[in-house]
Amino acid sequence: MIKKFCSLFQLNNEDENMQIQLIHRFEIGLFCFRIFTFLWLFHKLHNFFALSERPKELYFHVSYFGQLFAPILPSVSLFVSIWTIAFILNLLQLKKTKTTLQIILFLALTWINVIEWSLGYLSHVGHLFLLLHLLITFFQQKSNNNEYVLAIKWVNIGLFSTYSLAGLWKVLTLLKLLLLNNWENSWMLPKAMLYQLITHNRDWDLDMSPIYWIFEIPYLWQIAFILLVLIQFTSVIAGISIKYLPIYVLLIIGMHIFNLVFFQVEFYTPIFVLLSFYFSYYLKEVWVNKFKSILNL
Amino acid sequence: MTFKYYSLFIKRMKIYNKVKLVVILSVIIGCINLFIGNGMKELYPFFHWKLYTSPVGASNYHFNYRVYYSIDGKVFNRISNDKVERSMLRDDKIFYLNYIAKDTLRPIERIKNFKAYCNYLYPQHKYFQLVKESYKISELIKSKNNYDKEVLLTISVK
Repeated sequence: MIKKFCSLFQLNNEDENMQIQLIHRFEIGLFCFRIFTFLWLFHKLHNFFALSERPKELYFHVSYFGQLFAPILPSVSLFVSIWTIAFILNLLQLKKTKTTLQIILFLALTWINVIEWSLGYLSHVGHLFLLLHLLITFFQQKSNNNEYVLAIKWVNIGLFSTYSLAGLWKVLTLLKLLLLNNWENSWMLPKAMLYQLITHNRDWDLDMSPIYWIFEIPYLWQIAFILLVLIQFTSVIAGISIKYLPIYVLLIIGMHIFNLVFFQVEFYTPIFVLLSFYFSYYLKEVWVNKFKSILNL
Repeated sequence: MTFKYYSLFIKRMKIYNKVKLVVILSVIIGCINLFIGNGMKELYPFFHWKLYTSPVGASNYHFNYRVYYSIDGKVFNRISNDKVERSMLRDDKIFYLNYIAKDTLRPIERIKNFKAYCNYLYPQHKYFQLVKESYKISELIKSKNNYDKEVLLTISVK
């Protein structure tokens, strides 16, 4: 039992076939992620033309990167040239990642994203997207399979540790409340979820929705919240063990969709990043092969 | 000399060690930012870990900022935040109004920003108010008009 638990934290415990398969999956995932990057770029270009008409008084900095590299709202020509550089760099790396190009691409993408942040465009926070672009920087050199698989796992750990750390704060808060035995202002209040929902609806001036009775069921949402925190907190396991990866990706996408539907938290990019990076393999295996077999018939 | 040494060192590092280094560094930078971060400014990739550690409305008290407009400068009407206006999504408008209403902002700056905001979104009106609407959530459930108004700023654009 203890041995089994310890083996969970061993990073290189796959046999050779599994390793080859993992590398294959990673390469397909990376290719699809690059395709998604093109879509993201077009979306940002479309946004920029809409956002650039805003008055320049409403441009202010939310990050040090923005303060350094985009102190004022950039002109259209500057934006388009940096956008083109990012597009070309992404195109050049479709088949194979190159470290120097990838670093420039990461900086260009961050620059593009930071402008939107400075214009108050907070609803599509692209942290996962940019983090993945940062983490795949060093995949230029080919080494033996064992080391390559370890590197892939560290990419997964890097991505999921953001969720784990978000969960860690909630766990710490819950522990603090438990020690103080003070449940005011906490998620453990019976009406916490309902009140949160109402404040969110009020932000958007939505009418009182008819589904409120779901949030008045006793104990359901306290248990749901504890489960959610546990999922978030333990999600780094998905990076360590490949067996639990698909489950965690599905759970986290589910969490984002739940927030989107009930709380109007518009996080679209993480959903597409996770889908393109982790599930494109299944898409290819299942649907393309099925399509091929239909054609053969 | 030292630079050459380090570049050689990084070149000879194994690929997984490089990725590991990036992961650990970004976690550390995120931690530093969390403890010394000032208000809204962030070092980049890790953002808002503390999101929703406690529910927003649990204390049964909450507030929003809204813009009120007037044609004659006497009777002010509420503008509800229920649709996208020009390039502004609903969350953008909340973000801007929270920023303008912050008391750390200098009063001149505040008025300038608020004028620019109103002029951009509602060029057809002349008089505007920035209003803080505070409410008890248990009262708001009963009727959506159960809130208190507090005028923070009155301006006329021209």
